[in-house]
Amino acid sequence: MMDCNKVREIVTSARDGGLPTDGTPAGDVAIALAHAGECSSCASWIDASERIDRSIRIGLAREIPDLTPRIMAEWDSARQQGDIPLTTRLSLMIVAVLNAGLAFMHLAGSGGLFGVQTGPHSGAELAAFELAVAVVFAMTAWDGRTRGRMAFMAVISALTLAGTVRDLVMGSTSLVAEMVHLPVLVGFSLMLIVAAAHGSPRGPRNLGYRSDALPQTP
Amino acid sequence: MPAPGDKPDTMESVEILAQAARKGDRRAFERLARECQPAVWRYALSVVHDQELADEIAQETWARAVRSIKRFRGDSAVTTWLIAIERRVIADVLEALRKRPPLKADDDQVVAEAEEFPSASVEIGVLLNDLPAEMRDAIVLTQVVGLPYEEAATALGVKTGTVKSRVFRARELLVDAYREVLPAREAEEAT
Repeated sequence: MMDCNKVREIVTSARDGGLPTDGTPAGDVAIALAHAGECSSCASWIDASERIDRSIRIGLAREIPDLTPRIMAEWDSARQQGDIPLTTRLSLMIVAVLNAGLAFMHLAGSGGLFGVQTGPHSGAELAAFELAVAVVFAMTAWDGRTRGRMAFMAVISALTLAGTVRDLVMGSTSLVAEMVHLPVLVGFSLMLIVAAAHGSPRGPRNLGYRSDALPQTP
Repeated sequence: MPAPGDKPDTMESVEILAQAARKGDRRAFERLARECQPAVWRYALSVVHDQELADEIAQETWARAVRSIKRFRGDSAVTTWLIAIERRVIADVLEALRKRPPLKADDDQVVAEAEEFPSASVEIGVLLNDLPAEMRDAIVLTQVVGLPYEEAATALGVKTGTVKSRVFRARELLVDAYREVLPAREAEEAT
């Protein structure tokens, strides 16, 4: 003898198409259906559950907003980001490594190779600067984003270039010594290429969540 | 232009569209988006009961889907994959909402929002809001989104039998609630 609860579970599960895989024996299904045909309580319950299923479907069957244009804008943005040529990424990564190398050179006190004589304190500061620049280049090579980084790099590059030109004109430095700044200038040029050719993908979206819309927890 | 939810013109299934989109086919992804938008949006609405928020959740779900379509291997159905993404989005949204202080809504806003939701939604609120979240998810995914029990189980990260029992338990609670409000509604309609 099958109890009413079991009958209701089997019949509604069958209605959902959930029986073939849940291991319910075919004989049990037949027994449940026969029971439902004879038991008015089960018939009434099954009928009510069917109405409720329908109510839920109807209740949530609003007109669906067409988000397609916005979705495809996301697609286009993601594609732009993904389409940065490998050569550009690799070049950025190479200058990042060069800047990191310069950082270690300053830390090791071997800046004299390029005519940069520094003490331990200044060497550490120069190393911090070179490492920061290296991180910016590496991040841009990785994610293709330039927004928020361009201003930082533009100031550094402009001041570096201005200082180099001034010192070369005044004869206070040599071209070889100034080669130490080449990775920064090349890296910034690559970032300009990325920004101009591929745009700057959006950052995290502010969805403007409204705290008054928090659903009630049962 | 087809509306969201319209069936594709050909027998091409969303699974095939997803595989094409994975390889970078923009048009395939656009058709996939049109086909699957209703399921994503209705699931969001069933959880948050707010159309504007449902829009935002759906959009964020699709934004994440765009970024991860390359990793979609077809181990589960596309809708199941989308719902799994959406559940993470919803968790993030609910967390963000809980962290923010409540806004002071003025009376006009309250009235406007109340009018936005017709009586059918109030019934849905009564029916679904009182359910424990795991039961509500199970019944919405199977009855509204239309996922088979196995796919709903994958989306929820539970066993198929668990989904089956949650759906049944949800139905028991809903039938009880329905029977409680039915006499009152019939009396209302009689007057």
